[in-house]
Amino acid sequence: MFVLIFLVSQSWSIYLDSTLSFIGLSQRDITFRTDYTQSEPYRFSIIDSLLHKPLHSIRFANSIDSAFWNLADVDILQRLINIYKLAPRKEQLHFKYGLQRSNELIREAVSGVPQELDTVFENLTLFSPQPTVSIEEEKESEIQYDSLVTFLKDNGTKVDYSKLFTASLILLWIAQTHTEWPLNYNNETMDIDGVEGEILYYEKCDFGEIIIGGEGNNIYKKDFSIMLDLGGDDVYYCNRHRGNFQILIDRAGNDIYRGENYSIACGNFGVSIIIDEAGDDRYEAKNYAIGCGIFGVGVLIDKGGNDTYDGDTFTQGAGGFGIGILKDEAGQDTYEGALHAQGFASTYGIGILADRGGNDRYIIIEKYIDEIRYLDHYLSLSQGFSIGFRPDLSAGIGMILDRNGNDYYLGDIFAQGSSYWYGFGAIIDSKGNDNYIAHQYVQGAGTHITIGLLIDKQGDDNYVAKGVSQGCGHDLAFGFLLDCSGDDSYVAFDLSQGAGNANGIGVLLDESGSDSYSVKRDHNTQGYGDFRREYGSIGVLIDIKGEDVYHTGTNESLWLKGAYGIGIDWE
Amino acid sequence: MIFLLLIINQDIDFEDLFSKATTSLVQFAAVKDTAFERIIEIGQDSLLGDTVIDFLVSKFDTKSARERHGLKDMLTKIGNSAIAGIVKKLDYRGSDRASRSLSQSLWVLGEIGDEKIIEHVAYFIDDEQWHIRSGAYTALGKTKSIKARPYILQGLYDSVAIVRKSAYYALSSIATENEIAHLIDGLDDEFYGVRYAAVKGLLHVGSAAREPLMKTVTHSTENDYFVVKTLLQLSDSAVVQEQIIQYVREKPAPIRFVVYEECNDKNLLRLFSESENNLLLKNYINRKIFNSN
Repeated sequence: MFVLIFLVSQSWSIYLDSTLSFIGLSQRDITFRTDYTQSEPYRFSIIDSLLHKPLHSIRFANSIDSAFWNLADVDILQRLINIYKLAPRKEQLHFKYGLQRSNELIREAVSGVPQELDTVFENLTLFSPQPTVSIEEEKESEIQYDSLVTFLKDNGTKVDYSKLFTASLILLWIAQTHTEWPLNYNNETMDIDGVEGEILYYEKCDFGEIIIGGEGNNIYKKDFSIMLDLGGDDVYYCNRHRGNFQILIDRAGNDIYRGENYSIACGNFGVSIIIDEAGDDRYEAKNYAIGCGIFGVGVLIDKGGNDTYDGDTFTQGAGGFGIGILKDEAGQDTYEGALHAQGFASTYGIGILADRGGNDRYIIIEKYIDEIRYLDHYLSLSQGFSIGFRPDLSAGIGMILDRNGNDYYLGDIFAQGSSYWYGFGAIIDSKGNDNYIAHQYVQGAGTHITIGLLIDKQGDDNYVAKGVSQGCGHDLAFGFLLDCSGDDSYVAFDLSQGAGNANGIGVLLDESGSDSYSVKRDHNTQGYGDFRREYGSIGVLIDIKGEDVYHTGTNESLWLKGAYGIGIDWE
Repeated sequence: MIFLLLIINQDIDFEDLFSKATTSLVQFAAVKDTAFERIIEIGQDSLLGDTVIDFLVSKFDTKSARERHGLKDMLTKIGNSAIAGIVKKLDYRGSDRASRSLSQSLWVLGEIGDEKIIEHVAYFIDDEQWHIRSGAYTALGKTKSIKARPYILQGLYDSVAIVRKSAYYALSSIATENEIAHLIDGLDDEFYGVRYAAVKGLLHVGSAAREPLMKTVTHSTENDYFVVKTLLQLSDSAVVQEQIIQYVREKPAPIRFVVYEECNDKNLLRLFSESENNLLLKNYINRKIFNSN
């Protein structure tokens, strides 16, 4: 696999080098300094490395993608934890000893944490759908924001992430091996408060409660630390778990998971894991939910069925000061969120949404108006996106990995393989005819010293955006859209399709297929770099093979735009 | 006078004006423009100018990029009269805030770009922080004054590429024959920002750079790219054109492309088209001929 990735990357790499040589550049020139601000303890070293060598971000993204589809879940988590450069390693501990040990580790990990850290994330990331009514309100909000970020910066390190991640590895291994749990139960049922339906086992332990539900339909109105349900169409009312852990295994049935904030596989100063083995399931929550880690680790794995995921903010594979994973193994799924959703990462966070198969819909609804830029567009900050708190705290790593199917991605402002401020946001879509629709800062766009990447490996794809999109780097950032095959259509208005702005570097590279490139503004698209800070931005459009149609060029032609902008149709 | 100023000041809420002038909210765009113009008006006022400039300079440590750009725009528009107010706060250091403030000061002074800033700004060309050195060279360059040259030359071999870029770019507008060797060195720099700035500098020097450049043509594609690019823009005689045709035949595609890019003689382009075997380049030449018709 790795050899194949290497060979594939080599083929376009040669064309990129040859293209750059026509403007006196080489791949060595695709680089950024990382010390425009002082580093802080929350910036991943890999971000600095990738900013130094942005083209390595393709290899990095592919390595994460490969891990998700080839490794066991606990090894995937280990792979992500390694990014933190901390010590935790997988421990395979006996069921109850493992649970006890995890409980102790989590308690120790969060023992020094001030209570105020509980709400700081809400205050920083929960937006109001109502526009700001006055400039005074804006100013007050800025002052509060500054104070909260300072608090976060000063106190975020008080969580012992090493212990927390060790606990998450132990717990995920235990969850994965649920068929081997040493729990004896027969067909005798019992009544347990907060549960309707057949209960086969209940035990109260030092670390919490264990419950096993039968094969019928159950309703769980309260949470338990360890929940195993053998079948039936169940309903789970999920609650916040702070400072502890939960493992929920559902083996079959069309289930409904309902929660408010901090629920449904939300690791919050702790660890929360849900594995749903089969059935068409529905996951409904509000904020910080559905595979979310905030000062913790949240893992949601759904192994089959056509599922629906519905949340608002910080949901569906979202991490901030922790790791959030949503992995869906099969089925035609619908993901719907409003903000910070679907493979999203904030500071010191990793958020991954991985979907192995089916024709999926990734929808970001219009809820939070982008009042800085538009009166009629909405912030998405989602879909393989990462953002930090500029200028104080770096972003993290947010990714969507979609393995198969004809998928539909809908966003607005900041989405679809994009990031802001020392982070990494990416989509890797491996197969299928896909549609990517969004407005600005999207589809392989980096904004302010960061990396945004969209890789689509196969299929006839449509990319529709307004601007700062489709391989655009703005302000010392790298944006790359790599489409490896298929007959594709690219539509944009301006500053797109291989555009560098304010010393950014933007690359749109299409390897094969007969493609169409359409833009409104010819002067700053399709291989354009502007001149800023006394030197040029780099913008590159490369189409290697196929009968293509352009606004600017023709087949087998070469053109220059702006300071160091170039477009080439090679064959 | 002080009493009079106090009376007048009481009617102006600078914080409020500044908030309005730097708002990010698109629905208040009209309020923003009005507040911005009001600040400029007061900043240019003979009585209140110093007060508003001091206020604006006190905001130089802001973390907000939006405010930084706003401050730059305001003070640049206020113009030379802002220099004294900025310079008197130029030397305080010791914290992140002070460092941000100093960067902003250098940026704004450069944008104002008067010779009066040179001595004050030059003080920082040896600063330990690369972005301060870079800002200082950029500001010096924007004066476009020969008085800045001795300072600018010190930055041409800085260990940080962006600082070298700032120094080379600063030099590019005021370079003389004396700096040709430095500029030719710059064509070979590891940072493309320096390479392109060196080309600009050599073009500024003009024909005097031609002979030294001819001597530097090497067999290295990378070096030759910028040497040829510069030479072609400096040369228009038939003899040179003949030399170019001979030269092109032996060179790799990127160098040939530079020649075709810089050539505007249709007859010469037709010759190039006939001899060019690379389809990509042939198409480029033919398109250029077609567009010039």
